Amino acid sequence: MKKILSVDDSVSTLTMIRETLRDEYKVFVVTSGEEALSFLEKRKPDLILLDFYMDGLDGLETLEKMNEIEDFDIPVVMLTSICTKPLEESCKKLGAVAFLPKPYKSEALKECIATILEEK
Amino acid sequence: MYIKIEFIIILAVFLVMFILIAGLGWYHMYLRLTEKEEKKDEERRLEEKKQITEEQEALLLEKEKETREAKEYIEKIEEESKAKSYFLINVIEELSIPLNAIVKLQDDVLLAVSKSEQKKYSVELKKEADALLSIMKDVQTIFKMESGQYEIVKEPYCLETILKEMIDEANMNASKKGITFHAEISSNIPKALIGDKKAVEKTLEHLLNTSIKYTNEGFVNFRLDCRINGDDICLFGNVDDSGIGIKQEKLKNLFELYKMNEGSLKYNINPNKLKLIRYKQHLELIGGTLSAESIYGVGSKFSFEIPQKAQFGTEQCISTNHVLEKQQDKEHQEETSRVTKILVVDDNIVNAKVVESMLTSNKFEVHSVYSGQECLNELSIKQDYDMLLLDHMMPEMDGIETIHRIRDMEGTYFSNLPVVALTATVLENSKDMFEQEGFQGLLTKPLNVVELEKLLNVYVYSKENITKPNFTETNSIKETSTSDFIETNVAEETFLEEISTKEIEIKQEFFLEGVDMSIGLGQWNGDLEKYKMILGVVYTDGIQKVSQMREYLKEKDYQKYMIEAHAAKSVTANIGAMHISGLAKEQEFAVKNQEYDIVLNKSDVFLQAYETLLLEIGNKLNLTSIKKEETKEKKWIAMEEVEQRLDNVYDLIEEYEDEEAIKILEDLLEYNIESYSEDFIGEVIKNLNQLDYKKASERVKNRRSE
Repeated sequence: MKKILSVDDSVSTLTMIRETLRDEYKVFVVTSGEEALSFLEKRKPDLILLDFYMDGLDGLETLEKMNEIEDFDIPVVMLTSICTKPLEESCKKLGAVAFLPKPYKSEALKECIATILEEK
Repeated sequence: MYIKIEFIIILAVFLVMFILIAGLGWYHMYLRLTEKEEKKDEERRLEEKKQITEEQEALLLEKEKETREAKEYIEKIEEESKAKSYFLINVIEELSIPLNAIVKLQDDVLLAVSKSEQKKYSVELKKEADALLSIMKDVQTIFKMESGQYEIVKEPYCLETILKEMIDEANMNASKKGITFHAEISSNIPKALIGDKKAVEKTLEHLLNTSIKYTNEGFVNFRLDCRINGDDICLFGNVDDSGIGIKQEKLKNLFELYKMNEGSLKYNINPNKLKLIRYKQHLELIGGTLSAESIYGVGSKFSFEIPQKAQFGTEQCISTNHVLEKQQDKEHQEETSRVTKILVVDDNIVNAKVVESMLTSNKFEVHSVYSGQECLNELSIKQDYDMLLLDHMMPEMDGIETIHRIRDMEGTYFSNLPVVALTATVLENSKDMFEQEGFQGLLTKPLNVVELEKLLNVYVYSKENITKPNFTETNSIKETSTSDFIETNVAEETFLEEISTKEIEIKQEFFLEGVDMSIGLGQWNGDLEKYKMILGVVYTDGIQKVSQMREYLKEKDYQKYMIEAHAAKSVTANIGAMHISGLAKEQEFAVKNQEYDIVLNKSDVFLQAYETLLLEIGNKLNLTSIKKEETKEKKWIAMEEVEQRLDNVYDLIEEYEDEEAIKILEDLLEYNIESYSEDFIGEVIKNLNQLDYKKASERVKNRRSE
């Protein structure tokens, strides 16, 4: 099963994402950008779902730090409700391949992930 | 032969005479001819003249007709333009109704919501709704002013206080941006003025805010002086800054509403520009001016002149609010327990609900009806309303007809009842008109609670001893259980209300903790035996359902869990166990709104309480043949095995395998391990449920080192 890391400061959102994807993927859940980086030191997921607005390191900063990891090539999907054009551009430069608005529809999320993982 | 000389002479004379006569004749003829010609000429000339004047007259008439038509055309266009302005004003009024409701509801949501994420969205939403409302109000005011519908206010106010507030805020905002703010206020300016307070306050505030907003380094200076002529004051001054400035092309059209910028294909209407235009028009309406100078990249300077009148002969600063505040303080000291009952009449349910929600506190009782007829019906049944808020624009029976019918009703209550008109737009003479029709006051929508309070003070509180409600209460946080607002199942709500209003005698032999017997027995009309029987069924079924719910939670089958919680909610309410019913409701809605952390953290509380109650019922009814689950025999396990599993758990936590770790821990709880180990495992499970990997692994690490 492919592994997905989901990063969001809300436990309910993480639980929801996990329940949605439970049947097809192994979902890891962390509640902060810092924890996501710790996770990446130990394990390598196939895809990362990254929330934008978080306390501590926000989505963009986390994305930046992730890129500092050697050979970082994991596709990142930003889960965000509000994203302005300039922010989108910055994220894309750092490896974000898709943007899903919150609250997401389960079908949209599954399709998005499936498409990205196929292309790999 | 000789020719007689006489002949020659006579001949000559004849000749001469003949010539003369002929000459005369010709001359005469000539004269005649020329006369004729002259006459002809003259006639011709007269004819021509006649013609010319006729033509001229015709032309004149034409011209007059054209001017008349042109005037009519201009009038028509002006009428159309006015009509369009009215139309726009009305459109905005209509839009305001749902928007005001949205803004108000958003405030409620903001208060009811507790998680940082939802709060974030709520704050953003509120900002957007407020911005939309602000733009609409600006456009509306501009059009009102253009079409002469705007009422200029003349009231006494305290210039000193508003200046102070403004300068304090500007100081704060400026220092946040690292720029200097300097205010030079002349000492000639009188502290208290009479005039349009809003014009002064809003304009100066806006200029200060805009300058600070568009200046990133340097300074913002505020100068204010005045010219005094008797008691006429003209405030003048400027706000200048070292900000980013305004481009020449934009500066030209800065105050023009209908002009587009060069090379642009649309109107540049942004909120800032709207405000500038609005304030400039406002100032011009009271005889003032507003102008701007700027150099792009260097800075801008906004200059203004605002004529007002001075309040002389008063040492203190008097404002309309001041007087009423003193009155309100007096009222505050009076004591009673009476509640103010208000009846709201509005054909628009949304408006009525907004008013209701603005006045909720335990000092107000608000009731709404949706038509004039309903209002009359209500008043004929109940004569204990303290005030009536009556909308004017209603179909069938409007506000004025309604109040006439009320005043016509028999009894001093109806002639003395304070009635306040609610209206969306205030036209020049409407205040007088409403007063004549018998209203005690006029309020515009959206309802301004402070204004309402003023009216209540005058017409209600001063007459009777009613404690003035503290209006800050109306905005205080309401305790709502999760999603009380989002989902109100009306049928369920009324059901619970009905139960609580039945009052039956309580038989003292039978008593259950946490159960309101009057409610429970009330369901079965005081028949204790029937009640006991029902309790028996509840007990047997309940015990099963509790363990079923525990299973569902373990398997994470939240849908089934929610269905059982839903059922439990009704069952427990039916027997009078209201507290547990509330817990069940909380669980049900938590799943509905996917707030799984509430489910995870509080399901135990709910299930434990429910179970305890059921066991008590069982005991009282002597049905306790089924033993408690907890006293089930636990399997034995070796300490080394426990330690090994805990090591495993530690590794799993380090690998972020939270679910696997929880599985092992929960399994361990099925064994007979010492109680302190049980607590410890419980704590680790809690940490993992909250995805606090750090705490969980620390806990396990510390345990291992013991």
